[in-house]
Amino acid sequence: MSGDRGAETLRSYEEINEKIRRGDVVVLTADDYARLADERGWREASREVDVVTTGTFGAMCSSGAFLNFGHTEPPMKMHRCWLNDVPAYKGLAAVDAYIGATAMSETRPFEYGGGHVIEDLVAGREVELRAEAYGTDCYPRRYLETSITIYDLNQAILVNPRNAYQRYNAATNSTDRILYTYMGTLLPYYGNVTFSGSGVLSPLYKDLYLETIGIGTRIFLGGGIGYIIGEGTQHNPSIGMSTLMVRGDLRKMNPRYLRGASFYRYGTTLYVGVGIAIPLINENVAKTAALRDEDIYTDILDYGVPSRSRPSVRRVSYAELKSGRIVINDRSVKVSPLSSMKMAMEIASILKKWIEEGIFYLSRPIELLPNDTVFKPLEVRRREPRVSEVMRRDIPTIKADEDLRSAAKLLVDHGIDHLPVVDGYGRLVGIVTSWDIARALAYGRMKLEDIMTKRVITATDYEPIHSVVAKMERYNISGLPVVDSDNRVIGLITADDISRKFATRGAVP
Amino acid sequence: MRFKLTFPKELADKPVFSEAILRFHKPFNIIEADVDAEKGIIVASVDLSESDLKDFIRFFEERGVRVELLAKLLEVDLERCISCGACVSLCPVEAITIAKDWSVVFDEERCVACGLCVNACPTHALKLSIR
Repeated sequence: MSGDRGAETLRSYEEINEKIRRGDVVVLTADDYARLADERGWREASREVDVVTTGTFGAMCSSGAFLNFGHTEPPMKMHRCWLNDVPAYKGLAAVDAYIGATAMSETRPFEYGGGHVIEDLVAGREVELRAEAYGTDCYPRRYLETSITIYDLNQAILVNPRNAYQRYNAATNSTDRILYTYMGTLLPYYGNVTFSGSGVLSPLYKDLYLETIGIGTRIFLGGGIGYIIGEGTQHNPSIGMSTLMVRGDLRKMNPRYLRGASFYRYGTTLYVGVGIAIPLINENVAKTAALRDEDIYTDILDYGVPSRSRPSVRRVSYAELKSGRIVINDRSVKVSPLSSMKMAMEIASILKKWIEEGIFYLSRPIELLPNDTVFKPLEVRRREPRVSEVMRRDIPTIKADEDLRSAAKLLVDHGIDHLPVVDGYGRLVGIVTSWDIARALAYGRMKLEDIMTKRVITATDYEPIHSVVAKMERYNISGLPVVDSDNRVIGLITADDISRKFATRGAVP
Repeated sequence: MRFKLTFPKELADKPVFSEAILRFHKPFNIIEADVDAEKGIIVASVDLSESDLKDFIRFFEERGVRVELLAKLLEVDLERCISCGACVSLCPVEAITIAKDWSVVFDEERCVACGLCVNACPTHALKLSIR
């Protein structure tokens, strides 16, 4: 399509700002613009509309604020400090600190954290400050307890290393237990789906190729005015998961748009309101700003798989997610948004109003964000022992239609406690332990099929040992069959095998 | 109508609740039951006419059971609620829904006090009044 990235072929920033000054700029919220473009085509819509406003209000863990407390008498080089019992980062100069959203209160963990401290400060509420120091010749004070409000601080600057994901994966759970995650509570057996991001209103999705969004872009941040200071951490434009690093003056923000939050058994975070005004400077921008919820897709990942590469259950559009129900494996499943669509719409509308009233002017970025970075995983270089190094391969198996006596004999002859039950192709269908045999005897059950455990917890040969140990703990079991990708039994790993291996080596993984 | 019954431990071996079912000939829906060595608590709902309601309360009080009528099971702090919707997909009875304008709407009448939404609320805006 049209020329260089960021080319101002439809209208320039100066033209738009002149219209704002004159009071005849045409601004639509992104959902209204998408509707208009749907009716009349994006080309015609973009002739009339100068600016499209967006918004999102979601949990953004990589958020926090730099605070400068000012000096006490006598002065102090704070070595460690706490705000309402939440530790703040003190690896900075004497009275500078960074309070991060996910830091948790030492007295009320999981309930109150850095996000709440930020909300309390913005709301003008008193916050308890406690600090320790080792004392130096220039900074003699060693302890401090006082209360502060945001008005006492020299600076209170929100600096968020990663905000406003272009889109995010949706989440579900295939396991048999409730999972508590940063994607909220996930019910067992694909019982629900949660998602984040505002779809049609998503700031970064509406300028998909990041042609107007860059360093120096003025934005709505937490109810005040903020700026983009660069790409966010984990910025991954190649798969539509770009992010932003932003800053803004906390003292000019509004607690309605910065809310401390906590996810049950996960931890604390901060809901951040971000809104970006996208000037329709060229056809690329005019076209992507018109994308509807129907055009924006994401994957539903299975958070039941405790791996960084969780499998996708299916692709889904934001339109389907926002409908409240989607189909997984022929079953209709309820969907929860985690970011507030209501607040996202409110933010886009406020930004529209600011521009129409001449309070907010658009800024041309000094530099566009990179559009070619990738998000790399962290490879663990230290060698981790794997199941293949510990498992036993020469283990007997049994078929479900065989009798109890043969099972007992196999256990005794091989001196083992776990006997995998397989079908005609060697695929795992159950497991029988010596305890199961004892119970069968006690209650007079004679068929293997009746006494075997059918939902078997398994391991794979490349799985790290610590992951198997975690499963043994969680499910209170002492042995797991090792299976290949076709669920065929290739071995067995037991707690005994693991302790024997590491007892002789003299080290525990 | 929803109510909470508190049984003293002297009634531990008396089938008071079953007697009430036989006496009033109404289907009761038990929402929560919690029995320990000291006392028993039953939260339940039933449709009763005005006159039956008086008899109903008297029936239990005569037997030493405390009766509390419950207006709502779920308390929502609308100041804290940000209408995110984290709770919506957890509700087993459609007591929480999202309106056209994306507000999260609570129908306390339908709530069965399962409590899933309470823990899942990121802003601690929800509370069960019976706990």
